[in-house]
Amino acid sequence: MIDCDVHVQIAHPEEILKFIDPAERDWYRSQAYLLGLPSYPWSNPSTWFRADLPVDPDSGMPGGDAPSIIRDALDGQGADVGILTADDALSVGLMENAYRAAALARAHNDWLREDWFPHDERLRGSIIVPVQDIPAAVAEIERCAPDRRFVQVLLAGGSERPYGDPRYLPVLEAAAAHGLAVAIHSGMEGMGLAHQPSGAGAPTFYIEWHTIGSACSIMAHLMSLITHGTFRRVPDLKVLLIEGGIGWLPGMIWRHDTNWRGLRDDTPWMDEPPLETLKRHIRFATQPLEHTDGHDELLWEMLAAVGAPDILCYSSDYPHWDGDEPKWLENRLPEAWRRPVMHDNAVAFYGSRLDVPAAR
Amino acid sequence: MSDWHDVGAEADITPGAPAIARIGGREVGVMRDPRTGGLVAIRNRCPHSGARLCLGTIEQRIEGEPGGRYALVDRTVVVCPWHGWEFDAATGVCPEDEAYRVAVYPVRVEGGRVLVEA
Repeated sequence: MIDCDVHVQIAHPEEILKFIDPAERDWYRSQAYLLGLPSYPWSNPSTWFRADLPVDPDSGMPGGDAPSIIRDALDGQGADVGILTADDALSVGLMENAYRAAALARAHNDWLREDWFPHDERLRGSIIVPVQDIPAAVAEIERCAPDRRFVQVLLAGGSERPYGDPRYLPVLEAAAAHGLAVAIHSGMEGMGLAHQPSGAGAPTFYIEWHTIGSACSIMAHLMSLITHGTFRRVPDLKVLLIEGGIGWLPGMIWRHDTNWRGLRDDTPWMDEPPLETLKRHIRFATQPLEHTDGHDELLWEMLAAVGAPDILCYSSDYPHWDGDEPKWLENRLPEAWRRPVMHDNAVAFYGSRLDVPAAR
Repeated sequence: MSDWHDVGAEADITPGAPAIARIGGREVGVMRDPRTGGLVAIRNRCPHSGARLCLGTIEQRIEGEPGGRYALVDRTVVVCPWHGWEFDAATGVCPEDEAYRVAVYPVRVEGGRVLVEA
């Protein structure tokens, strides 16, 4: 099993600050939010984390160090590879201060490389970048790319513009040039520099954001990347969409497939149905796979019509409260989908950077 | 076996004012290309959702490259009045999906009358 979304928690901020120049550390210590990272105006009413996980005694968090993740997410869930993803630091690219963002992104990437990767050969990681400053983001990709344990560049769902906008092209090109995927993880909509989620203004409650706010940003990035012809400009680009749901995909892509024919004078470079582009370049992390109230067969049929199982890669979202436990998810899938979704699709998607040990 | 059918006076057909005739149980429209002045005879039913195709427009095709580059190309299309789908005026094929195609017919003018072979 390959888990494409294993979140690392910043249980001890000083462990990241040690990778930042001493002259800068007090700035991060003195911000209202953790390390100056833009954060949620809504809070989960109970807990962000699975309540059955062991926690760090000082911070009360699970997943705050490599031994915890090896125990819980690799050994505990049976992962052959776990791809580490930022959690709060997903919002680094939305900090108003691009210089502090660049320093913090560098530190977070160094932290993964120095304090996490060496603990287990099954660990891989995601590069976070100060995407509010494109040259700095590209420089950070160039700096990190030689370490092949980094398998992807991680961007937040919340953004200043959808990622097909030409300003982001150098970031996407740099990732593709190094054989890195680009992962877009829902979240941070409405925070820092990001626009509000939903397109209808800020939601009031966490449940509103969690149900649709995060899905809307993923839809917008998907639509934007395809419509701009991004994959014609960067033919080697691979994009993983994480935690935006997938049950909505058939409706959206069928609508897009219909519209591109009639609206093509504005986007005449679109030379194939959007679904065909999606199948070649885009994958969806499975969590949170929608609960269907007994209609799973209908979900499989709809997803098959838009390229499943080939477009799906398993993700647990460890250690969050809404994660999908791998055995539970695998047993829910149609039998013929299990191997590709849990393992093979990710191997093909990430390529040699995954260099995955034989399946256990 | 196809025959030539008189569908109307050439002078009456202008851009936006096609001739419409029923030939062998099918409706055929003859449209005037505003750019070339030529005539296009096409089955008057969009294969997508059934609109009367000849109430649309005849346009020069636009092609493009990612990065916002646009170019008019040497290809004429009939544009459906409902959803804007395009059909090649010479072949009737939808360039976006060749599974969608509409019949086009030879057309000529004789003595001021428009004749369609169908």
